[in-house]
Amino acid sequence: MNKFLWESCEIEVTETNGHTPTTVAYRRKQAKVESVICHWRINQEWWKRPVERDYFRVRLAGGVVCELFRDSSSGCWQLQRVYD
Amino acid sequence: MRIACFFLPQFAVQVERQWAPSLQGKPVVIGGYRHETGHVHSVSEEAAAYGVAPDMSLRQAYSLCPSGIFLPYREESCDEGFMRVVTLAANLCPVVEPVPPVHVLLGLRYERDGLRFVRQVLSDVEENTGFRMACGVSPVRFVAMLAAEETSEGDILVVPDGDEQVFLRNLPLERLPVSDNTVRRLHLFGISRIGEILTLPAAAIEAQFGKEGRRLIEFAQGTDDGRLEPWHDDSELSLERYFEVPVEYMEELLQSVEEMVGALCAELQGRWQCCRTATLEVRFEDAATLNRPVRFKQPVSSAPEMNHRIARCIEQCADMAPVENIRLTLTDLCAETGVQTSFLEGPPRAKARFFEAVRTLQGRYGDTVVQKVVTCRNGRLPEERFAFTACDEDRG
Repeated sequence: MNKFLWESCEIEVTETNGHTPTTVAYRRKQAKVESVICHWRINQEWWKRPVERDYFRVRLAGGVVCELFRDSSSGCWQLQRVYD
Repeated sequence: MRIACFFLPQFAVQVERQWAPSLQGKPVVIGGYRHETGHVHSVSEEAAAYGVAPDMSLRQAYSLCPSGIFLPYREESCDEGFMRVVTLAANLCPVVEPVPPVHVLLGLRYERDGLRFVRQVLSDVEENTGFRMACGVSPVRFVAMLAAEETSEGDILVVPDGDEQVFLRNLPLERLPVSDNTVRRLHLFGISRIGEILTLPAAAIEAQFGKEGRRLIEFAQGTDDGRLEPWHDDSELSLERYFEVPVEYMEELLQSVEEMVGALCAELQGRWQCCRTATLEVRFEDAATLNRPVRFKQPVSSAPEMNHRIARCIEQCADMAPVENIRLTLTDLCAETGVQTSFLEGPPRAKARFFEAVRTLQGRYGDTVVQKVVTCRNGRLPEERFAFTACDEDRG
């Protein structure tokens, strides 16, 4: 089971030079990224709604697994899914 | 769901030691005075070192441990102590099932870090009640109970999922919650350990022991439904406010009631509970009283919702004498639980019930409160792979 955030919420993420997340801050709580489980990129065709996102499924310190993405055009990080 | 079982070892001794701290470190035998004809109920570790054990006759216990302090078993004090532990556990966890006299089961479904939570419960109970507990954790309630009894005070024994049979294999038959007669008959078959039950054919056990035989197999396999029956605290919550200067103005009265409702609801939510009835008692300056019970259609713990109903009662006091005293009591407390169920895959009657519930919700909160999720095959972005549509009976 997972909770899908229909309207993704913006989060604060510290990242490496290669834009890999290292820490995630959500609701004033900060958690270290223990491991990146998988990483993929979504490019949507320019004639629809041009979107370029880097998705990361990560395991945070404490065991929480969540899915976040970085919008390449704005550089903002958003939380999209939290797994049970 | 994982279940944590908290066990209160030598509970009667712990209760006596709370009453008389001078008993600490001394051999204590609970069950009666040494000259009485009765059996030992509980013994301290110091007395157990002399060979005294529960169910032994008091005289035999005295012959083994003449320096022991023999005390009667005070059931009421033990029950009171046990309920203190249960109430505290219910404040920490929404799913609590007491198994008197010495076990308390907690559902760990809502805990992400179960072990940390269990440690916190152990320390909180010791800090607030002074009782030391042992804990066993397993998805099977019976296994969790045995694991708690196997470990020592302050420790946690976790039986990993799937290892129940390994854990039970070498435990003696006497640990099973079955009748003495069944245990005796199993001994006659040459069975002395729980794991050995599985060496017999299941059909033969069922033929010999009937329903209890089926339970024996389940126990030996380490399986059960893993369900807990949440405990309901039948107590009530109440708050009273006296006004030194009787209140004449409605706004002031409503504000006071709103504050009282807010405080009671905060306490209710802290206990993961809702209430079904609120009783408002108002005493006026001319000694008249108003006693008005308010029954809610569904259990409630939200302050605005409760206040909305109670304020309407208060408004009836508008033409009466100034108010001296208000008391608000919340009763019929119940657990804040919900049941998840699938209506659409069931028989047509279930489907009709589902749409009836949807219509009620839509009538109460608007058409958009319940919506149907449909899959969009063309969407590449996760949020474009689903869409919401209206949920009505015509569209199914």
